[in-house]
Parts: sequence; C-alpha cells; structure tokens
Amino acid sequence: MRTGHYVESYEKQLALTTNPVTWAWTGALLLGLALFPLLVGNYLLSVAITVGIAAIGAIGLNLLTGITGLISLGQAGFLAAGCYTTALLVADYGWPPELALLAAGFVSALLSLVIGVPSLRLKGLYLAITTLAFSFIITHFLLYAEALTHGPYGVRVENLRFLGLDLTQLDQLFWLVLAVLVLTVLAALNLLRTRVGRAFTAIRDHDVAARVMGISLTRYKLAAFMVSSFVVGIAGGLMAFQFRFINVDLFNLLISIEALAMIIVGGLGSVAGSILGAVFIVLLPEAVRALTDLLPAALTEMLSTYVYEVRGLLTGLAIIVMLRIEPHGLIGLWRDAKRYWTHWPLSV
Amino acid sequence: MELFLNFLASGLVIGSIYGLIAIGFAVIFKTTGVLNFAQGEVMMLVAYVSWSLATELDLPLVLLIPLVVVAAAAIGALLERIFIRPMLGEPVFAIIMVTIGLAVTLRSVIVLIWGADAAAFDVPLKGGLIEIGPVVLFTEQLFAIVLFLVVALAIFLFFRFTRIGTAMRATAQDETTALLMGVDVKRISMLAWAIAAVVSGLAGIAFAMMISRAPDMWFLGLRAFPATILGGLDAPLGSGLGGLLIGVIGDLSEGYIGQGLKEISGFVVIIVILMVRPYGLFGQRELERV
Amino acid sequence: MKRVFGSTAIAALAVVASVSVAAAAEQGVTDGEIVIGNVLPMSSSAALVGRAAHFGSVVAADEANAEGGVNGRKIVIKTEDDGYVPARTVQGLRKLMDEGVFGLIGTGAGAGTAAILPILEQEKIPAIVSFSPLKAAIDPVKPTVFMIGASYQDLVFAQLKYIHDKVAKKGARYGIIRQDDDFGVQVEGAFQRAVKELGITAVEPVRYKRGQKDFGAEILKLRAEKIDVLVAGGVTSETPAMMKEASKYKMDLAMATVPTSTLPPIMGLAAPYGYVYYSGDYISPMGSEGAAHFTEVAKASLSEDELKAVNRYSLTGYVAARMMIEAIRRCGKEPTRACAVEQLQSGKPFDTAGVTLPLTFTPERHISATAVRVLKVDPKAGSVTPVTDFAEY
Repeated sequence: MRTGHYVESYEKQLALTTNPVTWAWTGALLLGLALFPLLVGNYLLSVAITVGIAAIGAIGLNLLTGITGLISLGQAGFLAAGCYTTALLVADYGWPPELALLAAGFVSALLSLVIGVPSLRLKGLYLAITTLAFSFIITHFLLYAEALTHGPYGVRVENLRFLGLDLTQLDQLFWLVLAVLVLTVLAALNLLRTRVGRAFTAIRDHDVAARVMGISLTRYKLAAFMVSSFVVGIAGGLMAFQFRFINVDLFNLLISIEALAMIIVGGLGSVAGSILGAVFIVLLPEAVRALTDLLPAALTEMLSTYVYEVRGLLTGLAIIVMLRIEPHGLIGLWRDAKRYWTHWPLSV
Repeated sequence: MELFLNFLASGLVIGSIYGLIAIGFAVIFKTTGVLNFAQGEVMMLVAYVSWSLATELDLPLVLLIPLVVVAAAAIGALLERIFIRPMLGEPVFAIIMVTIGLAVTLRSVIVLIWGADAAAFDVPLKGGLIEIGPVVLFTEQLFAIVLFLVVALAIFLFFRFTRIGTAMRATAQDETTALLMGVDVKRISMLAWAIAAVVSGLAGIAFAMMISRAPDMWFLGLRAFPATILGGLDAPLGSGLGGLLIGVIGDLSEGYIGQGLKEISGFVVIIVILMVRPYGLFGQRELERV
Repeated sequence: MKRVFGSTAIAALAVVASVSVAAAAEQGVTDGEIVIGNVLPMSSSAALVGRAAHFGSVVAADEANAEGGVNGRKIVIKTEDDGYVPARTVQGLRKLMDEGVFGLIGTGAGAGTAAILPILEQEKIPAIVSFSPLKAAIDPVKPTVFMIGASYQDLVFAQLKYIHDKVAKKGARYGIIRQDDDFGVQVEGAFQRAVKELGITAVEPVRYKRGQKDFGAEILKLRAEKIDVLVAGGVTSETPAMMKEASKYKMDLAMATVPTSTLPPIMGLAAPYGYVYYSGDYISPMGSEGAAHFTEVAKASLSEDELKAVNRYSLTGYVAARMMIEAIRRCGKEPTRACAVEQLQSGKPFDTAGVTLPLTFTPERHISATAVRVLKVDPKAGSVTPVTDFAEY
C-alpha cells in the first residue's frame, strides 16, 4: 500500500510512473487485453475494435480540445481524410497497408494546417464552427471528386496484410489496434510531460498569459492541430481496415458530436479519461441492448415495434444520469474511488 | 430577374426557419453560456405536440398559435427544470453534454409516442397561393417569413424594453452582479429555455406545415447551427439574420452553380466571415484582460 | 501523482467475456431451430421500410412454423438494427454470426449491402438481397449471394420508356433531381440510359444532399429549363416535397419515381398537390390480388400494432424469407449452407404465393424477379394501377 508520494530526483519527476505496482498492473492489463480475442466471439471482438479505434480518436481530440482548449467539431473530417487516404492508397495505388496507415496520419496533419492557419484568431465555439465547416467541405469533396475518391460508390479495401498480420481476421486486427492504442497512449503521455505539452496547457488556461511567458501561440496552436489530427487520421486509417468498405456516410456530424461526448464523459484533458469515455460511449448502446434482451419475452413481444426507441431512450438517460452523478467525467469518478481506497478508513 | 427573385424568396422561406431556430440557440447561449444541442429536438417535440393539438381540437390558426406558445413555453420550462437546473454550477461542458443526452432521449420519446411515419400538418391556412409580382409562394411559406419577422421584432422589443428582458441581458453580462441586484438568476435560465422552445417550436410548426411532421425533423437544428454562429452566438437578432443569409445563399448557389453546393456554400461564407470578424457578424467583441 | 497508467478499470470493463459456442452441425442450426437473419434500418428515417421488411420475414417464418416447421425445426427470425448506417450493417451481421445464423435476407440499404459483401463471401453465408436492390451484389456473381428484384436502373428506366412512348409529347424535355449517394447514382443511371437509348432531350441533372427537405431552388432551376418530365429521385418524403414546389408554379409534369412513392404515408403527403405520377415495381402492389395471400397470413401472425407497420417492403421481405425457407426445406434433415445455395441456384422454380411469378436462380444468374411493371399512382384516389405488363428492361 502506498501511503505518500515523494519525488527525490528530476529523473523520477520525469518518469511515467515510479511505482512498480503500477507497472505490474499495466503489464497484467496489457496481457489480459492481448488474450482478449481468445476469450470472446467475433461480435464482442468487433465491438472491442471499435472501442480501440474510438479511443485513439478520442485521445487525438483530447490533445486539441481537452489539453489545448481548442474546441473541434471537425473530428469526422479528419477521420474521413485518414480513412480515405489509407483506403485509396491500398485499393487504387497498391501501397502496402503499413505505409498507407502512416500516410493517413500525415495527410490528416497537413489538412489540419489548412484549417489551423485561418483559425488562429478564433476561439471557443467560433473555432468549433470552422472545424465543423471544414468537415462538411471535406465530405463534400470526397463525394464529388469521383475520379479520385470513387464518390458515392465508396471504396473497397482488400488483401490486407500488415507486418505479417492478416487484417481480415478480427483477432489479428484487434492486436494491431491494441498496439496502435498503446503507442498512442505512450506518445500522448510523454508529449504532455514535455515543454510542448505544458505549452498546450498554458494556452488552454490563458492564452494571453501564455504569450507573455514566451509561448508562441501561432506555433503551438498549429502544433496542437497537427499532432491531434495526425492521431485522428491514424484512427481513420484503422477504420478503413475495420470496415473494408467505406463511404462518406460513415463520417457524419454525429460522429464528431460523439467524439466530443467521449472526451467530456471521460474527462477533459485526460488520456485515461479519453479511453474511458470511448469505452462508455461505444459500450453504452451494447449494454442497454443486453439489458433489453434480458426483459421477459412477453414484454419484448409487446415492445417489438419500439424496442429500438426504448434503447435510444435509455442511452440518452444514461448519459444524463452519469453527468448528474459525476460532472467531471468518468476520470473524476475514478479519482474519487481511488482517493477513497487510498485513504480508507479515514476517507469520507 | 424573375428567376432570381424566386430563388431569393425560396431562400428566405427556408432561411426564416433556420433563423427562428438560430434565435433559439442564441437566447439560451446568451443568457446561460450553454450551447443547447437539443434545440432541434425541442423544436420537433413542440411541432409534434402542436400537430396533435391541431388534429384533435381542429382549432383555427388564430387560436392554435397562442395555445402552442403556451404549450411550448411549458415544455421548455419543464425540460430546463428537470434536466438543466440540477446541473447549475457544474462545468459548462457537462451541461452541454446533458443537452446531447437530452437530444437522444427526446428523439426516441417522439417515435415512441407518435410512431415513425411522416404525416402532413394540415391547418386551414395551408394550400393557398399568393403572387407577389413574379414571385409565387404558398400561404404557409409566406407565413414562415411573416412569423420570422414578427418573432424577431418581439424578441427585440422584449430584450430592449421589458423589465425581465433587461434582467436577462444583465445576467448575460455579469451573473454575480445581476444576482446582487436582485435578479433571480435561476428563473432567468428557465425563462431562456421557455423562450427558445417557443421560438424554435414555431419554426417547427411552420416547417411541418410546409413539408411534413416527421421524426427526422431534428436535423433542422444542426442545419440552423451554422446560422447562429454566422450571426454571432450571443446575438439573438443577428443569429436570426444569419439564418436568412444561410437560406438565401444556399438557394442562390444551388440555382446558379449547382453541384450540391446548397449545403456547403453557407459554410464557405462562414469561414470567410469569421476570418474578418472572429466573433460573428453581429456578435460582441470580447475584451480580454490578463 | 504520476500514476497515469492507473486505468486498470478498463480491464474490468473489457473482460465481458462470453465464450462463443462451437457450432455442432451448421451455423444457425440447432436440434429445434434454424435461425435466419436480417440486418435492417429499424430506427432512423428509413425505419418505415426497414420495419416493414422485418415483419414480412416474420410472417413467412410464422407461416412455415404453423405448418409444423421445416423438417421438424422451427424457423426463427433474428433482426439487427443498422440505423441506416453501413458500418452498423457490418456490426449487425457480426452479431448475428456470433449468435449463429444460417442465412441472411435483410442486408441493409444499398451501401450497407455493399459493405457486408466481403464478409458474406468470406464466410460463405447464403443471402438473398431484397430490401434495396444493388447491382454490385450479383454482378459479377458472388457464390452465395442472390437478389430478388430489379435494380433502380431498371425500375426508373421502365417508367421513362413508358412516358416516352405513351405519355410525353414529341420533343419533351426531361429533368432529374437525385440524391448524391449510391442510390442517386443508380437513379441517374436510368436517366442516362434513357438519354442514350431513347434519345430524349435531357437537361442538366440536379443533385441534393441526403436529408434535405426543401426543394424550392431545385424545382425553380428545372422550371427555368422548361422540363415536361421529371425523375423525382427522393427516398421517401422528398418526393412529395418536390411535387409541392412544382405545383406552386402549376408545372405540367409527368413524373417517374422510386417504389417508396407507393407507400401510403408518402401518397398521403403527395395527395394535395394534384399530380398523378408513375412508379415501377417488380412485385404486385399491396391490396392487389397478388398480395392477397400475404395479407391473409399476416393477419394471423402479426399483432394489430405490427400490422400498421406492414407495407410494400413487407412483401419483398416475405418473398425472400419464403425462398430461403423453401431452399432449406429442400435440403432435408441436415441442411447445410452449401446445400441451400445449391438448391437456390438449381433452376427449380420457387413459389412466391402470387406476389411475383415463380422465381428461379441459376449458377450464372443470381438475380430474379427483374421484370418490371409500370404503375400509375393516383394519391388522391389512393390507387396504384399497373399500366404495363411485367417486362424485362
């Protein structure tokens, strides 16, 4: 049991964690996750893959919105850019999927400059709307640039071999997503402990004050845009592997709102919170559905025409209730629980 | 020229709808700082309730409208009381998230009660043709434009000249000081929701009369969202004008350029305008002090 | 504190382990049951048609079960909601596969069907596409995928041909408003074919975004082009909205539409505007003699509430389910997917209880019921009357 926390050197200050117990837990968790495909059927596995990809996307968005304080409603646009990049490079240009996935990140990051530069003066919801506008323009382009993107026909991706993995098999796709997620988490955590990460937070907390302290707003805001979009683009690229057939219907405004919901529900500015939020938002409809499946047969018979609305209703209410209990998101709930555990029996 | 005027009229009709919803967004944002993602759903709920009132009671429009206004105000106030009030004092993001949850809930509730089919909203007003020079409009389309003008004027007068309107402006400017001056800030939030429900609800009715009342009406809310940003989130009247602009620009670009630009043109205009005025066309410039 | 990796809670959430039961004989077949699956838009704006298709397949299953099932086994229909989103069609199919499913009849809307084709091929799942005909599903032939019904190309082209031959005056001008997705592409395909084969005078096609409801500018544009014939390519309530705008300018139009325009709620919306329009279909309309048997069994099998959800799309769901059940029946005591596919493409006719002529598939031709009849729809009178015989286009 840890009773306190003392940092005695800069090295320790910089380390991800100084506690061997944490490392052990993390290792056990990763091992458990890696074995996950052996335990469950295809459906749960595909849900888990969705969670993983959503978590990567949510981390990306959290870097921009939660950490740097730049609200984005353009998640769908960056996801679409990444997804189409990977899909088209693999399907039409015969790129190896490994490179195509990286390209998704770079294309998305470059695009973020296009939107980032003109958005530098904007704040809050006005920035949100330019990112929203951007995502509409992107999907419009994808739909109408038929020669490049197949337009309304959508893109089909086949023959996916990734570093020896056969991505048409769900378990192998799951491992890839898991690996990318772990890399993303590590990268994000490390970024946050550097000068760049602290600059991001300073901009969020007070941009004028940050500038006074010598942080170039232009440079760091653009950097936040690029880093975030790179990660989101990678998540989009993974979506191409997951669905193998993609079209613009995948990238509607609701995706952007859902992404925002993930980081709010999970906890703004927290990497672990992003993951928790993704888990919550993706699993919520599944949980509700499992719940309605448990209802007595007579009742479901009666509900047969409306069972989908009942599910929607419960999903909405669950979000509301969750926020009523813990307005700071799941990560707040987690911290409270941890504090209670650590200080027991003195905790209140 | 005739064609142009007709495009213009057609854009004004749909723009009036966007404008009304945008006013709803702005009223809530201005007074409480919350972006209400459920505005489209509230609008849809009011439209459905009105549809039931109209078909059950068979009232003339003159009586229906006041009844609807009362019902909408009650709906707005009730939603605020149940879902928003308990969140008072919590982070704004959490409250915005609650409105997203509310949106999901309302969408399902409406289908549960009224079913998934679209139905016509028939009122005695509907179906007549009105010719203004070369422009032809259905009476219900003209009604939408008139409704917009009346509501915009009413909102203007309300905020400018009534005691409670002034109190709302005061709260928007400085909540704590308003509180000290004896303004009941809690009631203000409820009032904002009621007003927003009435204004956007009227848009819902006008739209349902023009097209149909259907369970995908909520989407109008998202379409009106850019309008309110264009006009300035904290400027109800500006947001209304933003709606008109988005409608007209959309129809003109569809008419003269095509290529599905109807949806995109509004966004392009927004990007351009925000480059010049980062706080919207009619929004207030915020002065910052460190 | 730097305990950033403390997200061990995920472990608890993630280990929702459910071990899938290994299939004994064939996927979806147990001692007492055979499961047939649907993935359909049961919610969203397309729920009107998705639910109808679901209940159609339920009627077929109930009918078979009432006669004692299929070689001693009951037919169970399992339906997953995809909310009209292709990605969720994939998820829905995966869910069905996990729980065990023999074959698939509802395959989502157009893009959803396209999205699950790779899985259907990979897993060799017999499927009868009937909800939203998609050419790519059977051209080129996929080993286990079949389709009932003419594509939108044929459905709309049949009407254009009829209008060109019988209705429109010489030199009439043709316009089209279509959605800017895969569905719209198919509708415009028919239009372009008419331009090529019938030599009609076409004006520039107009596209609109999915979800759009106001068509003022679109109609004005076509009015300026002085069109006489309009292909109104709305999915559901868009079509009446186009008619409304057209009626404002008292445009004299012959209109071609897609089959949803014969659904009662859509006809109800179109009624005030005074247009008698055309539609095309490969099955008998509801209320006609061909649908009589279905209507009867539906009354026995569905509750009053559910009957309200029944419409034209129930008929296609019914026919597809009926064929799948018959194919399984012909396989005898131990049905396998391979056998069902073999039976489906055997060339032997399948009876559809009068909804269509008996249908056949062959190994080279996985599509049936492609003959289209042009219908004249009078929404005011509430009537849908065939004006041609079934013919191939």
